[in-house]
Amino acid sequence: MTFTTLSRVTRLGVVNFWRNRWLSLVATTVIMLTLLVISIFSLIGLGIVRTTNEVRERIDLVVYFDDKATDEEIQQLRRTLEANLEVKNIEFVSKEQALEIFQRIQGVERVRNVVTAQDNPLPRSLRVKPVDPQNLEALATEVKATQLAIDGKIRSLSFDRNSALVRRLIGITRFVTILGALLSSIFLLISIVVIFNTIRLAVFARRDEVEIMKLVGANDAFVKGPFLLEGGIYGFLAAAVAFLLMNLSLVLVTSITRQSVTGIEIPVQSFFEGYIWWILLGQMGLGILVGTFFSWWAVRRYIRV
Amino acid sequence: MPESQVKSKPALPVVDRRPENLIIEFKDVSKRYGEIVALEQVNLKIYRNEFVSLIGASGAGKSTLIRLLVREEVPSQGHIVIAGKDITKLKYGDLPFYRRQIGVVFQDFKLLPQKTVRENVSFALEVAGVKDAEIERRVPKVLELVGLADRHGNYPTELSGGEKQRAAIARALVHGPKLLIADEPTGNLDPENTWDIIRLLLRINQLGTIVLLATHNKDVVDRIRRRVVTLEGGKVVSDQIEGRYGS
Repeated sequence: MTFTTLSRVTRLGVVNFWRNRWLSLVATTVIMLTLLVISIFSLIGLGIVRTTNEVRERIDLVVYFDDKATDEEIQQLRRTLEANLEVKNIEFVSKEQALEIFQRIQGVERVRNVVTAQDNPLPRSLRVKPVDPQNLEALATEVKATQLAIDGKIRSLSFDRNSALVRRLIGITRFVTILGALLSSIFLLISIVVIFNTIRLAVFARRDEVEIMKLVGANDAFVKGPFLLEGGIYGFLAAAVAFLLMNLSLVLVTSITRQSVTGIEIPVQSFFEGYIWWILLGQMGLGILVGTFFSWWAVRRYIRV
Repeated sequence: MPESQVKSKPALPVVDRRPENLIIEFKDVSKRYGEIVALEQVNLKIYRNEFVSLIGASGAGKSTLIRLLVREEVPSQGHIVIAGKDITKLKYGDLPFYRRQIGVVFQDFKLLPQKTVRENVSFALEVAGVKDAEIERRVPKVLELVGLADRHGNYPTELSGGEKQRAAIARALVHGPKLLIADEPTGNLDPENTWDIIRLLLRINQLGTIVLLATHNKDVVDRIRRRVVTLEGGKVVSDQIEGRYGS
């Protein structure tokens, strides 16, 4: 294809897109909606994976010591636990550190002054992170069996309070992931059919044009070129609009999840910001591919004159 | 076609039926659609500078003959030779090049509705890869020839039937074809516009293009006094050098 032909095909494609703007609008909108739904489902999926990981990361066993326990006894327990292969790491929190943490907690302003460095009832603790959260229960049992616990020098274990929440969270995320994948697949199938039919109608409405082009001696490339370009423009614009709408909806979603009951911020926005150009690129690529491919497929039928 | 010829009144073209002037030849051409025989054993020779009217009732085979000539279809039997080339043997990829050598005008004009007159005409050159400067040079001339110089910026919907057909003729002519095929070009026009179009076709013929006019219009055929080929049931039943409808 010569440069002259290429520039003519390009011009035709752009001009046709504009002159058939209603058809263009419909085709673009359908592709845009599809991209939007696919993107949102994928993002929700990724958000869920992230959240689940975050939650698992936070699963730990905190051992609170009674003031009767000596520092030596605590260090002894720490060494014992560190020897266990199921333990990833252990962090010791002293009374002073506990006080510091307490004073940082929001919403305790009224009672903040009740606890002071001189009169500090906050316990020392060991924060034990397991390699696999599944083994938390076994670790708790092990701690409960130590002499320290038997002597009543361990005030409490945090495990009991967290485990139910953790299990529920993991269960919910698994359910949402499966549901999301299922809905995405169904929607993807529907959109493929809808996009194809929309573009086919757009081409069908202009089949005379294809016939005329052929009769005045246009070769196949010249006939198809503008249609493919139009398809590409549908995809490009659809991706651009979908991207903007997604940004908008993310701002809304994030403001809701900020107030999440679990206290765990879903890192959708930070994730989104990190991958913003990849997402745009993916949407553009997919949009343009879908637009041109279906145009090619649709125009093929009318081209053999 | 040189501009001087467009403006001055040219002499009637002389048709010289010697073999070297043979441009179109149908050799035993038959076309069947399943059981239906659309054309049967058609033999026809058309020479340089000829103006041929093709007449016959609906279903006589006029449209089939034209579709074969445009190579929209291939004959079931026989050959069609244009300027020494058997077009029944053209490959799919060669069709665009062949079609750029002929011009076709239809009853329903087949103009692109979303292009202006000028763009419709330019289009035939654009698809052939003609340079912009050459398009700029040729299009105004051909629009002038068909009398649409002042309507070049209008869209087909803004034109009368006669004007639409002129635009279609301009498009068919702009690449300087050897042969202009007109399939019922006046079928949708009133008598006045009909004569305008026929006069235009005669003029184009006088400028050296073969014109093949398929028509129902008895009046037209009787008055132009050119060669008349009559089809009936897919066969050529008469071929008169200076014919009349039904005579």
